[in-house]
Amino acid sequence: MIQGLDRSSREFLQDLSRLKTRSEQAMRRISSGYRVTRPSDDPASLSRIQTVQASLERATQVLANLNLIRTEVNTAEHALGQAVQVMDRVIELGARGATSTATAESRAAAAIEVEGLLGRLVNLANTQINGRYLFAGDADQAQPFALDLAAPEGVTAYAGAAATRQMEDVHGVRFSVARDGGVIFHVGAASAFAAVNALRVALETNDEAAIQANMGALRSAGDHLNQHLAFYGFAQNRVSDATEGANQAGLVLRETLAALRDADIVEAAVTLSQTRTHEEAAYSARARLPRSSLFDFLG
Amino acid sequence: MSLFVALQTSAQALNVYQRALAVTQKNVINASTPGYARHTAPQVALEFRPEQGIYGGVAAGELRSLRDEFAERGVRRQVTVYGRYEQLSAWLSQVEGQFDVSGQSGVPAAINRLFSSFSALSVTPNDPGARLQVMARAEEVARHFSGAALEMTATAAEGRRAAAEITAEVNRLAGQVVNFNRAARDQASASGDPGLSAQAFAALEELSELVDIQVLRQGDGSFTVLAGGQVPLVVGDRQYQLEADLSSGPAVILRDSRGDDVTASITGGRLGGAVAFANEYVPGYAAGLNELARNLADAVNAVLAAGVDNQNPPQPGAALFAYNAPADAAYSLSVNPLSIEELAAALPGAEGGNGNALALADLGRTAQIGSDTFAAFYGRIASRVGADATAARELRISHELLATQARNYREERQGVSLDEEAAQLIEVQRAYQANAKVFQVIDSLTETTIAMLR
Repeated sequence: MIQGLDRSSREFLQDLSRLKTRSEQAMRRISSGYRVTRPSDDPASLSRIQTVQASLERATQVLANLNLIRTEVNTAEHALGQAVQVMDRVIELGARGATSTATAESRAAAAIEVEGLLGRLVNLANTQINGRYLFAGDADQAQPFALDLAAPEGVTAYAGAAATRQMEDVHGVRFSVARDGGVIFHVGAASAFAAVNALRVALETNDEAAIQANMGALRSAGDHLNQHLAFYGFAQNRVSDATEGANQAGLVLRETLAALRDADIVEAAVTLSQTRTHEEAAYSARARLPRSSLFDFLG
Repeated sequence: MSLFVALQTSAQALNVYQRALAVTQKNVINASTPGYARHTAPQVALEFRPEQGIYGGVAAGELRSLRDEFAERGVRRQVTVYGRYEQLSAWLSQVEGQFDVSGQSGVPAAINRLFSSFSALSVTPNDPGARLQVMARAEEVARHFSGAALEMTATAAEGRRAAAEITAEVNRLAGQVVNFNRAARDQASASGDPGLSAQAFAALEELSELVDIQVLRQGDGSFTVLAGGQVPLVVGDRQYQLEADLSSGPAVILRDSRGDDVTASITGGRLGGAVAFANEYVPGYAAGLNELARNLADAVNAVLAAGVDNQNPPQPGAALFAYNAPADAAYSLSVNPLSIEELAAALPGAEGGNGNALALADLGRTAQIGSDTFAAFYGRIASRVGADATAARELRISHELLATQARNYREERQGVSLDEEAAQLIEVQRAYQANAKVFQVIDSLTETTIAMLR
């Protein structure tokens, strides 16, 4: 604190200092676009600002997660849709082979097509995205199935794992978006692979009775695939809803953050203009203050 | 009345006016000298009883200082409080800069990014890229915490150095007061000397901005100065050195000349502000950062421990973070050298799953320290810094105004007004000229009388 200044100079400097502080604050708000640029600007709202910012980061990440998972769900749904078509074709071939008008040659030809369809089904069950197997459950680095015509079911044993993974929406609510290939393609009486391979063998051996006996299993496997296709349809809807929820939450959070943190640029500009005017007026008034004393008039 | 007596009386009056002129000159010269108080040279009319042969005249009264001790005390009191908050305000504004309020940089941004990486890991828990990202984000968190703690430590060290420098300045100013006391003791008139007195009061005022002092004026005109009301700095011609001890750990300890700890007694002035900053404010903020770092590390490690990693066979989750001690958690926070396969993203029984990655991501949105999330807790620390800085700034401004008011009051009581001095100068000049005329007339009469005798 400067000693030796007269009263007027002291008060003038203090007033200037106050104007400068206001002017700097207004300038900071205009240049940064933020009302709160340091803790002392609004200590009471800092905790809330940090919380909202963290929530916004989370909503953004959830949205990125959902976009990624949407691709997976869509791919899985598309693959299952094709699997259902494959099963429909297999059932059609089975129905033709089951008639008494079918010949050994036509059944042998059908057997070849069924073998190809079995391979296609295996390929669909091994669908990958970004190097991960969509129907391998949690063991998504491992190929879940391989064609093995010597095996009773026409494929090797399921090499994946159970699908336990869940997604979280922006509110932390979890939901499943995948099912494992073992459950979809390869479970007991509804095993698509077993039914298709049994038809192939029956066609190859021209065993009409076996073909007819297998038709129930084929239909059951087809229904089973359809059920899982419905699950993926539901998962697509769930992902869409969650995406919309994350978008809305992000919007609300951005608005909240803006209300808490952003500067009112117009107000800041007016303040800056006012303080500059006041500052200039203060300098001008100070310059006009009489500097003379009675001494100046002594002869 | 003889002409010679009249001549002598006029000559005496001229001397009195000369003295008055000298006092006016002294006032004018020192009009803006720190510590100077206006002086007056009163004129005393002498006894005038012509019938008894006493012809009066004028004599110079005792040189009088208009210094108002009450006004001086008022200034010192306000300047002391101003000094504390000026110091605190300056330092706290530096600390403020170390706390990000946008959530887009520094510690809060690093924490947010860590939880985002956990969230991304939950989508592809077996993906090496996602695992590498988690490790990179964890390193980033540790680096930002260490950096923040280091900055805090550096600021505290600067605060301690400032306390030591202020203490040295206190001792220097106390030395000036001692010099005045010595002069006052050696020469009785020195205590009333306007120049010496101005130096002593200027030193006391400067001293009061540095430390809260109590000033007692002794009978011989010397000053006794006590810091914090009880720690002697100056008694008579003896100075008692104050020392800032920086060797006893992170805190500043103020010691009196006997080496006793007097830190608790000295709370005002810049020294009080610097000590409070180094001993109370910074450790408080650092403790908050340590608590945040410790809770974050413990919470993440606890969740990881409940999961299983991606090795074959799966192993219980290893700790991701490590720190030396809770009180040093922020600075010493580090990431354990894990392989990416050792990150436990799955829960036992669901190897390859994302159960644990989801639990890790959830740490970011649920209350972890009392009722606060990590982000809210960081905001609370920043909020405390902001509130302290605001309070210091507002108190600085209000006490600057109060100090100004106290100085204005003092100026009204004892300040030099150039206009008043000019009026006084004219008054003395006219009296001098009139008296010189009288002197001239008497001189002429004397010459006439002498001519008559010839």
